[in-house]
Amino acid sequence: MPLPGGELAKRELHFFWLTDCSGSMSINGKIQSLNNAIREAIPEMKKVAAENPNAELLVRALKFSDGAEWHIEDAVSVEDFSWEDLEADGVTDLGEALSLLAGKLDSAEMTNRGLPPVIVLVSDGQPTDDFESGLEELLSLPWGQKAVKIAIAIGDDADMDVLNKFIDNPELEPLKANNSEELTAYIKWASTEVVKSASTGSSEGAVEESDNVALPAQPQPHSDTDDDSDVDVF
Amino acid sequence: MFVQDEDKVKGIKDWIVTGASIKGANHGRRGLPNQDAIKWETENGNLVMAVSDGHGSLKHFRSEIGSKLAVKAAVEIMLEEVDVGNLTDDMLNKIKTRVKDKLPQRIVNQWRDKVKEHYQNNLFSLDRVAQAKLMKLEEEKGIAKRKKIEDNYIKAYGATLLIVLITEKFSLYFQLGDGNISILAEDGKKMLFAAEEQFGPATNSLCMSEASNKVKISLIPFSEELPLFILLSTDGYINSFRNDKDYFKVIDDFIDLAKHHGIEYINENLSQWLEKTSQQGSGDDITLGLVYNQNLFDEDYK
Repeated sequence: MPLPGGELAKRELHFFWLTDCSGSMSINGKIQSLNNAIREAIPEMKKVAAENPNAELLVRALKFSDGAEWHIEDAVSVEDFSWEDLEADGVTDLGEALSLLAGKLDSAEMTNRGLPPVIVLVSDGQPTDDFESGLEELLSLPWGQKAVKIAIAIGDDADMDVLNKFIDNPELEPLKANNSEELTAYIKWASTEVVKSASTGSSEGAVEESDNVALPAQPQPHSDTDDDSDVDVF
Repeated sequence: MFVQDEDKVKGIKDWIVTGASIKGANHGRRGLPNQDAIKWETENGNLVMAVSDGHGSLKHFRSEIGSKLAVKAAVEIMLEEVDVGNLTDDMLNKIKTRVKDKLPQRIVNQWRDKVKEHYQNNLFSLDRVAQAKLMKLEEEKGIAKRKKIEDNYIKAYGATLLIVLITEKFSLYFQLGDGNISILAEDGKKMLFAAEEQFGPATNSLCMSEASNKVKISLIPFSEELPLFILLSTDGYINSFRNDKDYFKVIDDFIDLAKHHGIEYINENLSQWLEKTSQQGSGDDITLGLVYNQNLFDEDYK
């Protein structure tokens, strides 16, 4: 006999890439390193998703430079997820990107039955638009507050203060990638270990302000890249 | 598991109860125990049922004990609270006020006392499992987090608590944290008691310092509203359904099952239904308590 109740469903886990495609990302192969890193992480991401059949991992991507637009607007199941290269040109309208993201987090697609979304912001510079307004819009939403927000800085020019504000969690810091190898490691960590933690659905007593998904330890940077000619230094 | 005839609650009509608690599919894969608990009892014509969900994250590593202590504390205090002899209509208002003002704190205190006793008999320093969990916590979150739990052991036992009490004059609902108390009223209305939209894993908990302030509690005289069916469930259940409509269908289905197959049939199958629900749904532990008003089964009842 059928089980009591209506249709059953896995819990959705929405994953968002928020990628900086400003002109500076074309310097020292940063944009191509990012494209490669995301592409390399896909098989591991699929593996992690397969290990938890009670979570449905759905991926979207948003890019920002002169304005912001969806790179992948409709959520794609991780099983069908592939990566088309981004190109770099223009300024860094991060505020607009956060506003666009907020619109999606506030939509009917994001029910409170889902697992906390994971948002990974990758940037190499400073916002050129009204970042604070975009951030305020994002953090005013329940899922904007409760999402697991990870920030990866590429090179020395990224604005760490802005990335910290985006993370909005005193226990987490932006990851700083100084070369393509570190970027790959961080992208992999965010798209596998963080996803793994967010998909357990384990509850927490709300005893501290920062209580949300318990995240794994952040990866440590590699430093022995001097002799490796395959590694782009940012 | 259901209440036998001689135990049935005396009141305007009898009540029938059953329930089950299962380990979630996800917990099975991760080698975790079932961290939920359920308990019900009848005494002097009163029925109390409590359901608790122990928090699953690492720092709450004794939550499967915390949830068991929670349902025990709830049943003890509730039965004590309503042990007032013959309940007259005049007494209802006084009880209503007392319940609102004192009951949450009494239940929280009873739970804390039980946790303290358990902890004193099972100190972290002498428990290899606790030591391993604390070590893992230190590795993942740093020594400060470990120390926080060692200094405030109560957090390790964190759990939610849902209670329903049925007397001959009223029903009482109590909710602390996530989970659902779903009620079918006499007029056919289906509702969630103290329904709150919750986003993310953080929930109110018995282990919070101001836990009693977070309790939602309501005493409803039968003269105002008579429940026909009450369903208590941990959040692993509602999170297994596509949407609210799919969840609320369980009320009709469990009533139909009871009418056409009987409570024994539900009792025999409930655990496996919940296991399948967890596998195809949230993966979380699921605990379900069902309280039927006997009126539902009377042919001439409208």
